[in-house]
Amino acid sequence: MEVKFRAQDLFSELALAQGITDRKTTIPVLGHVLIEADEDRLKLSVSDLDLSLRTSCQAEILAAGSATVPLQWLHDYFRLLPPESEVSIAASAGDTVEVTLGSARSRLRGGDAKKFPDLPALPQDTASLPLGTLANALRKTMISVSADTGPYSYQGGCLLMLAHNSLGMVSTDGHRLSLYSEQASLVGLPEEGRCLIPRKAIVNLEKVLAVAAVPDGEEGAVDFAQDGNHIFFRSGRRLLTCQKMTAAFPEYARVLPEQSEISILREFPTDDLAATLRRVDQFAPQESHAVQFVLDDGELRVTAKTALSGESEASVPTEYDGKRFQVGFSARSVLDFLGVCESDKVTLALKDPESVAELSVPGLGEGKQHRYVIMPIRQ
Amino acid sequence: MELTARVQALVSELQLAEAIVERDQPRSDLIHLEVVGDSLQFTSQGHSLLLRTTCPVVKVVSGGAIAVPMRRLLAYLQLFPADAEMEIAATDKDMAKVTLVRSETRIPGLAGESLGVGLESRLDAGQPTPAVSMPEERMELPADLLLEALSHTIFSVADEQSHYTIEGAQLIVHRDKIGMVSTDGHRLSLYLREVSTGTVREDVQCLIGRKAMTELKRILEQCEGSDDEPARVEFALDESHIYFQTPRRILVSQRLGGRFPEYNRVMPKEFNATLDLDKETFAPVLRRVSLFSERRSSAVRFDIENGEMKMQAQVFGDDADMLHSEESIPVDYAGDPIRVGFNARYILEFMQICTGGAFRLHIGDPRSAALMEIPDKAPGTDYRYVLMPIRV
Repeated sequence: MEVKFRAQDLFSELALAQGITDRKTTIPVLGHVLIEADEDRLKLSVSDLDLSLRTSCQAEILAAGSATVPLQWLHDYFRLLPPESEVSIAASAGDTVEVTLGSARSRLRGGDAKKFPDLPALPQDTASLPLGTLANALRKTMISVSADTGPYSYQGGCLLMLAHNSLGMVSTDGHRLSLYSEQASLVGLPEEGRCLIPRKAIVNLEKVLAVAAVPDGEEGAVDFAQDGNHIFFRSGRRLLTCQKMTAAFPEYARVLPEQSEISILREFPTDDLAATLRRVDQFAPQESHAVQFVLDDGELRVTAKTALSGESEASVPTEYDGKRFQVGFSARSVLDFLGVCESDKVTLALKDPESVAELSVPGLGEGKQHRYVIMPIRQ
Repeated sequence: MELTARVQALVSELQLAEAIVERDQPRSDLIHLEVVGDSLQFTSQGHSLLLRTTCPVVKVVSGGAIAVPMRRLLAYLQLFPADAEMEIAATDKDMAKVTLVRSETRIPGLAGESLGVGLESRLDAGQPTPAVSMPEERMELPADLLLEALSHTIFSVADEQSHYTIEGAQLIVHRDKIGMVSTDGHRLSLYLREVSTGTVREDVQCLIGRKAMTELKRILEQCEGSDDEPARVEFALDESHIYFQTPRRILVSQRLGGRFPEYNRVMPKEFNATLDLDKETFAPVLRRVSLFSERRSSAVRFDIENGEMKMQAQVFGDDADMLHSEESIPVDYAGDPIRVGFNARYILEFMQICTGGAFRLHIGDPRSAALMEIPDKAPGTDYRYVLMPIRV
């Protein structure tokens, strides 16, 4: 195999691939990227057995063939190359891969392409999802996916809900729940349905969509498909596949507060509330980030106290002249929402100090829904 | 104690103190705040170092002192706009009350907790702090010279891993020259600059520890002088401490024990080749090649012949990945072929202070030390970087 290409073209793909491979893997080939020279492209594949990414970059193929190369090395090396430089990679017998640019010649031991795991084939029928909508849904719901539970619990994934006229996602880690949906027409969707996508796939899909090249004036689309075990997302030349999660997602609608139950509804400037929470959080317990929200006398007071670090109090003015209302929340949870809400105002809806509260975005626009439900922390 | 100050004024002093106070123990990061005249004085201590600084305040309401955990206070204040005005007050012996824009915070200050380590003065919270007194015998050094000396030598000071006895540099204050020299046994940096006679009364040499160097460098970077009146540092020594004082700050460091080696004896004098090189072509190549070297030694082999310098590195493994890289750059050299190995990391660290771009490499035989120099340096400056070769 021998190929020639621009350093930058490969590097941008390697950077995406880095998120997939598991650095601590005990199977050497899973730390490698499979490179295949085919027609006018250099194809790249990485996999951790559950999640895989296939992509390619433009290249001049001098000799067809394939090899695997340690991804970490390749990535570190290409980071040091001038982006515009022309590089060639050649693989010969004996697993040696040679990288050449100008006077620079580097060799490293690759692996046998045959040992690379087989990746699932993209099914024939794919549905087309609007890229912007999917990216929004990912960004806004990935904050409440649990990082600790792993793939066997529904808390470790996001539920993707596809209907003929809407796309939505929901996730919860048991302390908070994020829901986002938009009206959209999903072309080619065979049937309405839901599937649970694991956290690692969510994180990497978000990165893939963030670098997707969408021509001006177009919406951009992501091809979506599933087979018995796998979910497929294709954005341009990049194809991400992951194993389906088998856990059942609970009936989340039950935890969403009803309009009629809400006793206090207040709007706050996002930046002001975020700055206040960040400051008070310094004095909240490190594990729980528990702070108290006190609504009283025309202001929202946020307070926190720990024996070791001291106590802090800050306030945000708001029109409130009702009875004193106090409830505890994790400052971190609220800040997570404020970080992805993309609005300069947020609405806080409260029922009573024992019930869940809801944060939402006022005036979001026709057909859009963004809700964030948090459990109170008892003092 | 009660006063009003700008957030930025406190943040800059706390940031200076941050590197000094230890992280390892709870309560070890206390900083002592005291109203002195119409400014606020900060005293912080770590192993073998003491820093006392002052910052201007907007208004003093009442005097007094308190000790507070500095990292928490710093992290908190950094979340406010730099020009915000804050009030800080010691409510009673144990609490510091900080009031800013719609916020009020109480931080426990640990009263009676001793801050002192090793120094005579024991600093008790709530008590007026004793003066840290500079010895009478002082010398004035130009701040920019000292800063240059620090940045040119600090990277070759031995650390815990280098198994070298002296974790510090030798400060040289002579009547005709001022500078520093440091070594970790594998390389040596020497920076000296001629000074006009009369600045220094007597020749002094002393060891200054790595941490004190880092802190002094940070203090000097904030020293503002002008062309007419360059910033100056007062320097003094007693039996066990070194003192550096700028208008608002004083740093006291314990003196290191040990004897710095006779550095003039290791200075190589004879060379087989002298190469004029340019950082922009040389450094990226070395950085790439060294990626393929053994992590510990960073060994890179240099082959110089026929107007070409070839850099080469490799890793042999049993079943680990075998790596090999070679790259070459043109050089102006037509003598006998030379083959020599160096630790690439040591050369790359030298590159960081080589701001002009051009540097000179003198190579002797493969077992004797090489010498690196920067040709376009300020007049009267002597900077030499001596590098031991490694076997390749």
